[in-house]
Amino acid sequence: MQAEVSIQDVHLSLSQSVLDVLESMCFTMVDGPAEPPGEDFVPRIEVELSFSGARRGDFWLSFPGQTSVEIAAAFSGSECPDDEKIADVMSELANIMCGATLSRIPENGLFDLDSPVATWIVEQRSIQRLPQACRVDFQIGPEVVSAGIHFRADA
Amino acid sequence: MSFRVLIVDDSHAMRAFIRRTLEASGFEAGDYFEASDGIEALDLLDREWVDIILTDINMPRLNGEEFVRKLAANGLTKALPIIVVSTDATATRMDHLRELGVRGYLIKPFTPEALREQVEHALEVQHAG
Repeated sequence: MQAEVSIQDVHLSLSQSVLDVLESMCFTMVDGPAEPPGEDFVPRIEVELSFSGARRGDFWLSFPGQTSVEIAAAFSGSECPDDEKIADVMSELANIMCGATLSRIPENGLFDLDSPVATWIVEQRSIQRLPQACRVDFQIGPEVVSAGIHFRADA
Repeated sequence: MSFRVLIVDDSHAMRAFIRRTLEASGFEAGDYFEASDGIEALDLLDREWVDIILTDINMPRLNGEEFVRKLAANGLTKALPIIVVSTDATATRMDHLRELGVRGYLIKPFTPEALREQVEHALEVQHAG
């Protein structure tokens, strides 16, 4: 049975992992923490993936349109990445951020990551997030990138 | 001297990133080969000789751990230097893979410098041996 993990540990692990990936693999510095995006709709790409093992749960990542293009360009070396390449890069980033977060959580055991699923959000709609999700939001230029993780109660 | 490098990862973006990062670091690779899982990599190794393998763990069909196990069980490939490139930084996983003969373990996210250092170290050990 896994030891209880504090929400502070999870938040710190998630935050450090997102920042590390953006800095070391996308060569992008964030401007700082941000408030979660408000009601104004911004087209974006979201990636979700589930994990299992010592703990089970889900991870999600949300990048607004322009930032996703710039991040995908930095990661892939392609000046004008198309939608498919952006989705491929965002999926890989979600995979890395999730794995890094789980690895940083104290006393976390072996884990497996499912394949990420990327979705373009091109019109306003309400997305239900589980209330116990731990999330981080960072400002990059005029846009806000977000990531979150939650552990299932049966884990 | 240039080396033949095999990159095994189910993400095309990640394979391209590793290749581009190695190229930018000045590492002298003669040829790059790519495979999207362990089965594709084993098929490729039936036809091509490589000097070093960089492999992910989480892959469909044949994952990185099983791939490494198969290489270790084959007399022709058991001495090949292998570097695991993975998000999984748990000590249990790393210890297990090192027991299987993995030469290096690079945790994502990584810097270009760390990638080159791991590759050069693995090849130095190979040539020193």
